[in-house]
Amino acid sequence: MKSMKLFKPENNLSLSEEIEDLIIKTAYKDSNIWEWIKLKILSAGNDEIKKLWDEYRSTAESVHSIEPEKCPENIIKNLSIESFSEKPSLIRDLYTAIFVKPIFTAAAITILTAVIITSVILKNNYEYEGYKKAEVELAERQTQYALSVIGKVFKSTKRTLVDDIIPVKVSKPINQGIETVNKLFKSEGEIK
Amino acid sequence: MKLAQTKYNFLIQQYKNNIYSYSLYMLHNKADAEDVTQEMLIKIWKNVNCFNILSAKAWIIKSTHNLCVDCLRKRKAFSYKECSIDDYLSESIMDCSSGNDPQNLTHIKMLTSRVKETIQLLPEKLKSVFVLYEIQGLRYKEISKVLDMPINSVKVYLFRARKQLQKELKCYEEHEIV
Repeated sequence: MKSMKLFKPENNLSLSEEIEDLIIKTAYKDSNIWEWIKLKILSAGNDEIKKLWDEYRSTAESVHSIEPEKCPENIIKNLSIESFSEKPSLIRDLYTAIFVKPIFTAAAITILTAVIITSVILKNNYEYEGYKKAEVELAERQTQYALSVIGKVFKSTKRTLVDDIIPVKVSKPINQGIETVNKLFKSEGEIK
Repeated sequence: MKLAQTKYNFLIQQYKNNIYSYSLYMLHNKADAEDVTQEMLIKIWKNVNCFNILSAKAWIIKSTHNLCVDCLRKRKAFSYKECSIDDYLSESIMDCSSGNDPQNLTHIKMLTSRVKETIQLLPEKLKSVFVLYEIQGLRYKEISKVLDMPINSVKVYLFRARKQLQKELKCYEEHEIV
């Protein structure tokens, strides 16, 4: 029923502007997929639409096959333009390389991106003489744990030495010895 | 390396065919198209430091269009008449000798030249929009900028041009059959 609305009411043989626009757009590949489907359905039930679509498509193909005319070389050769007498400049050359020849910029960016990606990939997969990164990290953790255990042992040893051994086993006998010596000196003085 | 010269050479290599092709379609005369192209190349050289290379395309096509319009005005003023419509055709037929299937190639070339000739028959505004969109490959926005017209007008002109081209081709075919 919708297709009926697309035709002019006064003359069913002539197509409406809307449908012709659709045909042209589709033939010149300016339409979207829905418009293409819509036209495909319409053309299936109407030979006039199909014929017109084919005609426009053929013309569009011919138009799209036209390439821009080549400029005759003699036009450029005939132009004898004197070149500028500018001194060579590194900044200008860089500017030229970046803006005038975008292919250089594109190549530089591609190389830089490739280097970054490669370095990231290599960094994730590096090996230490046959050991993988994960193995090295495990070994590092184990070493740290072992060192922390040793540290704890040293600490407790120091504490035992300072708190228990030195005052009781060393300082006390020394003090006793000194006291004995003092007593001996005192008694000798009294005798004299 | 001289910046201006490099810039100029780059622009010429990039757009010389576009300039010549557009002029040829608009003026329909090789000599005039060559003159406009040459004038445009000189204009590019003179202004090479005045515009950004990234927006050069629009500027070049716009200037070419203006030069073509000037040329057409002059032509009207001197009631200049020329008939080089068969330039394409003669060249096309001559080129066919190099192909593998001369008959098929000739047919394709004839069809293309017929389309080219019919494009020439379009009114100036329709022709410029059609050539810029279909042959030069510019987008609606770029054409709108180059021809100083709203995008909707570009779309309408393009629709009319395609329709008229079809009509003219049909007339051509009917005339041929008769």
